[in-house]
Amino acid sequence: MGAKEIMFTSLIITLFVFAFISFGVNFASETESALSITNDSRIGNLYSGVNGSIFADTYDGKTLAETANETADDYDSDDTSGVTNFLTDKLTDVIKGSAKLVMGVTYSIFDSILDPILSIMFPNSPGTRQAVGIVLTAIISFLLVFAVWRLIKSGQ
Amino acid sequence: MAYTTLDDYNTSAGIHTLFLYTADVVPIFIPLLLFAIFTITCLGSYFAQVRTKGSGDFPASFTVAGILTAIIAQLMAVIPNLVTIGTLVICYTSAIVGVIFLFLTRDNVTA
Repeated sequence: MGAKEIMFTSLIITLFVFAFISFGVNFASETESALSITNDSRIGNLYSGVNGSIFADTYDGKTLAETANETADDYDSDDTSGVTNFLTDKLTDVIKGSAKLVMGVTYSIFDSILDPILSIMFPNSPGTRQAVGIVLTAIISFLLVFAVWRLIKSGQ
Repeated sequence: MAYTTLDDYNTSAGIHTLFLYTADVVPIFIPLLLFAIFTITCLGSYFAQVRTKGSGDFPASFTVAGILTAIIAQLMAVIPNLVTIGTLVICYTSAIVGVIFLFLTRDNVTA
């Protein structure tokens, strides 16, 4: 399986996980069930992590409406470079948003899988658990960077 | 200490009282019931494919069984004190693991 397939597979799995947990959360909410899947801290963290990555309503501490208003205020129609700045800002926002989505979602999935495994392996040593988690997270981060690089190279 | 009997429950409230009583007396009843649903669906689907097509797709059967079990567990969670949060999480986790298993064993996801 190549890097491209891994990226797409990660996204598809993430979307499924988000949709499936959303079903559970909304179903429990609609039926006023006392037991919700997010009562469990691990699922709750996973859901809030993925939810925050995809549907973040704030960006750099500002709401999206505030960001849009500021961007519109910054736009000066008399300045010919304004159009370029406007488009550049939007383009960088899209790139930053995409990177944030892929990284955030992948980390959320990774944490939700890794945390229970490490809890079983190291039940009485949270320090060791944290250290192992940091090392594995670093490895995954490097793999993600290399996967993106390979994706770009294969595209060329 | 007196044993809990069905008389201690309001059986006129509905058929779910029987499940509540059984789950109260035998706490592992609901997890075993869900496990049975999972196993029957998974193996039934797999061997049905083997019988009709000559080969089976185990990851797909596992995923279908996991999703079905999670949905049934979620429906059971509407009744208070019938399903514990641990059981519900295990059902959801089995569905998620099934999906990961399914997609990672596919070669052409993007095709």
